[in-house]
Amino acid sequence: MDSKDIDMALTSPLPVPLGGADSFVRARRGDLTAFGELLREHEARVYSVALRFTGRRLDAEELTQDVFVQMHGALGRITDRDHLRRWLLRTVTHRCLNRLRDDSRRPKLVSIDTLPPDAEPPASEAGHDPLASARLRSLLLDLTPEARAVMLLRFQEDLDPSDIAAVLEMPVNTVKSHLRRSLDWLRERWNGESHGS
Amino acid sequence: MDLEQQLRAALAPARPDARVRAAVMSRVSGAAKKAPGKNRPRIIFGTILIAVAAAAMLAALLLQPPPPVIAVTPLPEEAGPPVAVPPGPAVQVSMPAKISPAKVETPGEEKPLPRLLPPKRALPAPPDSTLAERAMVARYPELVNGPEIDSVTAVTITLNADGSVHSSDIKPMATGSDVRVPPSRISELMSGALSNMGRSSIRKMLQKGAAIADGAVLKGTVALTCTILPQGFDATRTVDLVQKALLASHSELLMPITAGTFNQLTVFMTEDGRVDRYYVRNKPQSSMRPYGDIEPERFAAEWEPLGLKPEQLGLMGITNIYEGSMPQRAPIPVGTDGLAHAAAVAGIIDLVVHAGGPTAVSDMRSMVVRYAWPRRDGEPIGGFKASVQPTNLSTAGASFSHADVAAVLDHHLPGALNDTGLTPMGIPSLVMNREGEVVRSGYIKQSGQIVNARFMELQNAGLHIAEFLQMPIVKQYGVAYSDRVIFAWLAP
Repeated sequence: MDSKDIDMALTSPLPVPLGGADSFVRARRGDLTAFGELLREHEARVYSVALRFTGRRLDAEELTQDVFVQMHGALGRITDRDHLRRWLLRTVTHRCLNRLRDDSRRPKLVSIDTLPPDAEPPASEAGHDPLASARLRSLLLDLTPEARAVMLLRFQEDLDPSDIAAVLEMPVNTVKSHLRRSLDWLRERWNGESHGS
Repeated sequence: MDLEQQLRAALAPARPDARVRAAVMSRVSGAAKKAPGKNRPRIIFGTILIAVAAAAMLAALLLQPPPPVIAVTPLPEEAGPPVAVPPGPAVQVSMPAKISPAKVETPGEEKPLPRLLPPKRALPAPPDSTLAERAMVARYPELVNGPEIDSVTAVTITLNADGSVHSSDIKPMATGSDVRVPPSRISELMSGALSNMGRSSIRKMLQKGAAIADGAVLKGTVALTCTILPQGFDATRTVDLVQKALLASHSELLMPITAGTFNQLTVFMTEDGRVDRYYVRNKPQSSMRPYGDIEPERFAAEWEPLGLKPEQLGLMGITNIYEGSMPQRAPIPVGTDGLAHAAAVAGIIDLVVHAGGPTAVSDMRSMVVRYAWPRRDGEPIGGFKASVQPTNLSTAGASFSHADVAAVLDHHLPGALNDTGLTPMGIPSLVMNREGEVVRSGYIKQSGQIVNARFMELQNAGLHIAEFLQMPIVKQYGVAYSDRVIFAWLAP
């Protein structure tokens, strides 16, 4: 972790700590129970990014594990909860990007008749069309990895473009460009499939 | 709802399975004695220790007499795991991807370990095209003898292991409809074990006028999906029987998907496929959880209201039943129904019941069903993962029980079976000789490649593997299990 993380300013609200305000401090001191509380507090965030990024549950679970194990070793260098959230988002997105790059270099051994990877289990969202949501998540997987990362941080984590730029270490204008193009692309397909309000 | 709102809804947080948390805690607990982030010098010292230990292990391995090398033709990729590797990343890493020589029995040990003999049979290879086409023509001769057909016809055939037709389905599709199978829809229909069936299925697009098996000429374009069932497949306990029974007798429990709440049924079936008893809980949509979340510790409590104990429960599963179809959608893509049909026959988890023409979203109804069949003699007690049909031991042809595997694992890889279902060290792996004695054991950590017989041979020079299986193991009551265990048998 480097000092760039500390300079990032995130505007979205922090999640409510499960284990009291001092669980971060206690975890830094090596309290495993407190670490467990931090894990519980942030696991959905990290797992969700990994799941929507890779589209594969097993990959997401493995990446989630690795991120939190890495977090355990890095806690001494993370200054506060704000920093922790940024660190987690940055770490999981970079790990996802690396995973995709590694995958693209590997020979594909999967037969064309093999069914596609198990993607997100069809959890239902209250008041929303679960099939449409699944379709949108599927479309996100067709974006380039960088564009996908931008979209996830924007619409899952509600980060502003400047925050996304800091997490992904890319210029703000590039983030905005990814957002605009990705939304246009999604809208085109979405409307083409007669969804909408 | 505009696109951005829908995106936010689609990207609502998903919580990982509890075993992920358990695995993280397990991985970090060893390091917890040191303050996190302040352990660099110890890491260096630890690295030296590990290097020394690894060198010692390597020396021990090199000093072992090499296993008998018998020239066998390497297994082709398709012949890989009869039970498919859960899709996705698979590979590399690992602890030693090399596995270690097995523990040697000491003379003082009284009770001999169970022998894990090679499987008698394995999941079948995908049906060949000729077999599938012949079955199609036999079932639907009008496709080659009748009048010209302008639309695309979707045909789904499920074959028994002996090649006879188990069931089939035919549906005309609108001309020019999209015949691709959208991955997202398949994913909705499939879960964990379902991908196993992928290896036993073929999907073909046969063009109008094309000559198929035995010189027959098609009168129209056909999208053919053909699945072959594993030998010993129990067609009397498929999920579609559960769904049909519920739709016939309790369809009033379906609730609109926009209702904000859903009905969760816990259902005990009779041997002959009727609903024996059930109870309903109405729950908020927000509490709907992914399929994988049957926590073993809650296993027994789920069935208490029905007066059932875990030992009375055999094959179990979860299914979501939907009724209706999405509005303004193109006709159901070819393959979707076929897959639903094949999936249902195969004991797969989900089925979308399309009620015909387009309906409003508000008309679409669903229910969530947890079901169990009565336990039969010799069947493992409960255990969602273990009982999904394509992965259960008897279907895979294994002649040993879950308890046998547990005993062997306890001896060779203590800790491989635990309450979390996940072993941080990797996938417990056992290599047996023809007599069923363990000759190698170790862990293979998943990370990127498909783990199959060839993979193990490449990682362990001199190993020639004839049979390969991997499947989850339930120790008892679904409480202690391993997510999966790899079994390999040396060639004779």
